[in-house]
Amino acid sequence: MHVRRLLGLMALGAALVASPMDLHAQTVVGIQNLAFGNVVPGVPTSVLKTDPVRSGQIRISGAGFFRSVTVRFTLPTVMNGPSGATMPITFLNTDAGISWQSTITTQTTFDPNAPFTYTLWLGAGVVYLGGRVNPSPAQLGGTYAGTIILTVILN
Amino acid sequence: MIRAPSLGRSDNRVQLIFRDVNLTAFSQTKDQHTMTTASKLSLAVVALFLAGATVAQAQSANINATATVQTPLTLTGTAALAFGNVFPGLAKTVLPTDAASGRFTILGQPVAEVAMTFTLPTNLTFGVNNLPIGTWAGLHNATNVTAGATAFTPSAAITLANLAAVTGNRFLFIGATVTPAVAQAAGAYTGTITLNVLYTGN
Repeated sequence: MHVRRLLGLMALGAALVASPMDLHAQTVVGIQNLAFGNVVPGVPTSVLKTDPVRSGQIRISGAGFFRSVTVRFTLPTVMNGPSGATMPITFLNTDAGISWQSTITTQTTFDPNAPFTYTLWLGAGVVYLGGRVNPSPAQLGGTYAGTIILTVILN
Repeated sequence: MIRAPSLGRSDNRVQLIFRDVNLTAFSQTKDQHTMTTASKLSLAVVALFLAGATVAQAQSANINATATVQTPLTLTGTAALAFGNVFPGLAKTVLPTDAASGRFTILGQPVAEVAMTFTLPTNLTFGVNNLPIGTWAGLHNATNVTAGATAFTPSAAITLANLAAVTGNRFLFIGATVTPAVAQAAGAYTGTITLNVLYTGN
């Protein structure tokens, strides 16, 4: 009788372990590009991470309450333009921020050039990114673009 | 003897912790019992916990960085400021509207605002001889005519202007006054007028 009870408890424990307790529908979605707009040759142009219109923004959701995450950017060093032209783009160690409240005014600043660990108290948040471009005086006119990747790891 | 299991929590996993599990098995005979240590059962429980280890989840998303670079500026000096024949002791003026006025052409991004500054001589020179020049005057226009142009004073201070809406041009016309001395030495006097133009970003 005692043996059967013990075996039953062990089966329950195995069932609890086998069914993942932390499986969430986590999503990471880009919601706004980092947009420098019109850039003048010879005039460096910056976008702040607090710019509501031009800052890059990526939303994290479904991570689970009180979840620790590590965010990591893969950043370009140049933007590509017409006829193979390139324009340098740089990111300072204060150019990124993350907010569990998902508001641009409550960001925790971090260096986009290194991984950053943060707690999403409500399982969601927004990552914000600024940057700067430095066109030469002879920069070829036209549209330039670069790809920014944010990777989010649940800890 | 079996102790009731306790609950533990680690990394969001619920564990059932069994300690000192001993099994007491009663034989068919009432007055006889055997103690058996459940070491194998403990190992089985540990194996179950290891099999249920969580794998870190990672997801990625992309955004773009975008920019539109405006047309680079091109500056051209198209005509010299020509005073022609000048007589000692008699000042001579060339107006911006005169055919002999100095001319510049700016080409860039249509509508963009530019900041114009000048580096101007104080004298025209002929060898060691100086011919004073001053009283600078200027006009700038979207088309290559002086009619309807905007007046300004060429100097080291910034003059703002917008390039033409369609062509991206701006035309400048420069005049000044030379003041030869009574004993001004005869000769061909020259000087250099330099125009500097930058986008303001507006």
